[in-house]
Amino acid sequence: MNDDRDIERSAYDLLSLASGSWNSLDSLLMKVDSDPEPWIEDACRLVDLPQNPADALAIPITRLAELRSSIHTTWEEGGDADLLLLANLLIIMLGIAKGENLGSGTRTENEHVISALAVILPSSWDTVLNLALSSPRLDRPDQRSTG
Amino acid sequence: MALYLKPLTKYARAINNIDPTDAEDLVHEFLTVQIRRPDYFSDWEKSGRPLRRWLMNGFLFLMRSHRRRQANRRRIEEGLARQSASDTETDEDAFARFERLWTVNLIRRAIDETSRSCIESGLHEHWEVFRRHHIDALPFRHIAEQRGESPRRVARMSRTVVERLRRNIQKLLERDGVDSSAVGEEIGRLLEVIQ
Repeated sequence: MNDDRDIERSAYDLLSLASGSWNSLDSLLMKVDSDPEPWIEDACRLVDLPQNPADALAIPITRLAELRSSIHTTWEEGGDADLLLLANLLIIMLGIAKGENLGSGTRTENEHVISALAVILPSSWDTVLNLALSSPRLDRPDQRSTG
Repeated sequence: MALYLKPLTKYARAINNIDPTDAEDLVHEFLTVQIRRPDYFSDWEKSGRPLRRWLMNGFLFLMRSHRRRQANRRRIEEGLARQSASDTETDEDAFARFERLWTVNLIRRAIDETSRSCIESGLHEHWEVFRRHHIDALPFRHIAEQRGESPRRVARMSRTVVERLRRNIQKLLERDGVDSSAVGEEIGRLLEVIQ
């Protein structure tokens, strides 16, 4: 049996995990999951993001912010919505890995996105993923420092 | 009905001019007598409303009948009429409390079902990672350090459980009468309720 007080304190985060706002993310993941590499290459190419994870991680945060802004423009010009969504998620993850939140998402939303990417990205992205998932940016305000 | 008992009892206790003992008796009467009517649930199905709202309305009706009986006994009909405005306000506050408590109970139930299903299908470790992160609020990096695994690995384990939790929350809402196409919208509304 779980501790009632802990569940009550976490209720909002737990319910938001089931939110319908994840539908477009889920739909994208289902498409990408079987063969992610070409999707990632195309997404990176579309927004001029280096395809090599180490090179992508080396990009200054200001440049990442510019790339993210360009996504909106490309979207309005009729760019592929799935590829642009994936590129957006990769840039948000890179930002978190560098200690910055480039998106408008909440902590829960950012964590959900990065956890989803942890399922589909090839192992070459391990360093970026582990950095992002270890970022204090994803810590809950009430997080405990010890287990 | 266990999902509804505690919120209904708390709701009844929060209503003005109802003795706490009477409140529990009313909830008991409602759950054991009123909703046993043969057409109670078929009427609910026809209503197209979530079950919790149907139960709330039914309970409200019973509670008002109880008040009327009390008032008649005490010959204070005039006093009841004067109170009606403030009662409405209190009922709305009590309803908000009911919804909040019901939502937390729903999450608790979904968590219990998810935990059980994970353990039954050999995903005990996955459940533990999820529990420590999403319920105990421990960051992935700390769980990863303690387990000697990468943050990526623990995030993937947790996400497996998240998928089960989402399905269980959706299932419970549908059982309450929420249309499957409206589950996302209902979750959005409930998030506002418990924020």
